[in-house]
Amino acid sequence: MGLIKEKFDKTMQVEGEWNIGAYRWKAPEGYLDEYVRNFKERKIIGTLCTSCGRAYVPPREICARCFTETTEKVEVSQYGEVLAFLVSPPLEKGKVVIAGIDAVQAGFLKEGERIILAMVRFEGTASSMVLPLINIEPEKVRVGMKVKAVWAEECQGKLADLVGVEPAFEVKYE
Amino acid sequence: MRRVAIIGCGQSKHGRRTDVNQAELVAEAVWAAIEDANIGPEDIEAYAVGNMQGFGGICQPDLVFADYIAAGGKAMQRVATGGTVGGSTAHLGYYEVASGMYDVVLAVSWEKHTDSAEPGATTGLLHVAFANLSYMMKIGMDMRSFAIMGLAGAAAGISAYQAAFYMARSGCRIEHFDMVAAKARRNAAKNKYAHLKWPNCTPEDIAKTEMLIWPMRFGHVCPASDGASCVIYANEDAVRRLGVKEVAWVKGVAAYADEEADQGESYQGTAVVDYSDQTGAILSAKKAYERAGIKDPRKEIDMAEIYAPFPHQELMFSERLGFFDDGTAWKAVEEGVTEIDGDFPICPSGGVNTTNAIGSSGMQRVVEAALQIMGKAEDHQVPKDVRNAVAHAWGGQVQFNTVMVLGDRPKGW
Repeated sequence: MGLIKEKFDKTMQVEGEWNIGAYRWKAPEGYLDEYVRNFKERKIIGTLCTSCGRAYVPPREICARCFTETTEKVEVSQYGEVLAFLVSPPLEKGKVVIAGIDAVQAGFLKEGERIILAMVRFEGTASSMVLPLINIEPEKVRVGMKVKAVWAEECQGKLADLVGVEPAFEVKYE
Repeated sequence: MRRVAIIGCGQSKHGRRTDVNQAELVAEAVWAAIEDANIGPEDIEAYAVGNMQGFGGICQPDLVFADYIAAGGKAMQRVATGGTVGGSTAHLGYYEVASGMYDVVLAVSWEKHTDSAEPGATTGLLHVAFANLSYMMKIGMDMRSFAIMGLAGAAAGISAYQAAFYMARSGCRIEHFDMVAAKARRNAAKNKYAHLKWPNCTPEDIAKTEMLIWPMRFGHVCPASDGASCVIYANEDAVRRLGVKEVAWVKGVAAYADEEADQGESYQGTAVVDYSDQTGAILSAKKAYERAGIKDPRKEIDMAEIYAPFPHQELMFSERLGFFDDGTAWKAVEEGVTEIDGDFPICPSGGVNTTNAIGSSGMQRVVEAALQIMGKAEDHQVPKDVRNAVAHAWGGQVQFNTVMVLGDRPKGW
């Protein structure tokens, strides 16, 4: 083949730094601002597609099924269902490093805790969302379990107000 | 549309390739395919090239390698459809010949992860994930939620969610994922181009690996490989003119996109409630079979190469592509049906679970399916007679799918 690689074992690496400060990312204006503003009143407001009747939570600008704008707002239930879930192993220092920050070391996550991430569909919606499932042992989580929204003690109209979901009913296993 | 055959296949060695740069890596697969077809570069009229955008750290590699693959003075087009890109590039090459635009077309796709500090992440995924996360911080996400979102990671994350959905839907257990991953590693040990080889790997070996986030173990995750894969297409007349003996005919192709799963652009909800639905795969398969004249895929197709970086995806897609009923593929795995010597071998090459040079992976499925039909898969050739084979690719925010049906004779013969 006569390629260069036959003459050298390794390619050369050249160090360099680039400033990519010109990068901009455009987020849609309004939809989620309004969604999180309603968290102050502990309300979950989605958007309704008047063409197919799907309600989206978090809200969506367009219904991708109908290719129409979803302009109508609709309040949905605080109750939902666990469709599927993930369980983290007990968290340790050095295991969860995001963008160079050790989340356990920094105190964002507690050492030894196990996070349950549930895919939840709130009643009346046609979309699912990922939320932490709290106040339950991982062993007791079941698919199909009814859950309800858990709010921060003081809601300020921020995304963090919706802490996650917890079991809607006390579950007893023999 | 004209009849189109694959007349040559080429792959680079996949793995950590610090010995080559991107241009040399691409050239390695291209020259292997040209030699395999026993033609010269002057016979090729057009090039379809494809690569996952930005994963290798170099944004426009096609600018530099055209010279290395003799594309000067020829038509060249680049495709980018995320993880599906190998499948899409294979389709583009096919379209160019089937339409009558060109007689001989070369399609190549590749990825070189090791040029990026964090494979796939530095420039490829982070600009998507960090843009979304920055926006979520702006509307008041706290650091704890940020860290929780990070627990599941990026592409592995959405696949972990999908695995959980698939388990809930099918009733399969984590042991079945271990079985599929062990099969992939055993098969890869027989494939000289594969990355992650583990002869005699057992499900118990996989079960001993660390649990990343239940139900996904370290042993379920694909490696980040460097590699390139290439096929050469020719129409019926060109096959005769060039005197090519061994070919695999393209009988039908189809590609469908679905809506984004997971919270989509800027955390908005989507109508994909269950990430393991994979409507795009179902539609692609149905259309491709219709075009190929296949009525009963399980009976008429002999083997499949499925794009499955994670073991649950092999189970899920084998159902969506019509080989097994919804939620039953794990039973076939228990019975050994999908083993290399089984009744319906899936990914005898080891598949994407053992070798994932993302851009290359979709094309590699086409290459491997064609090799099985031509009987040139060497140590991982399935023992049964392969008359029809399926090559599948998947990508995007789990929503793009491509399906190609290959056969030992053209449709209608």
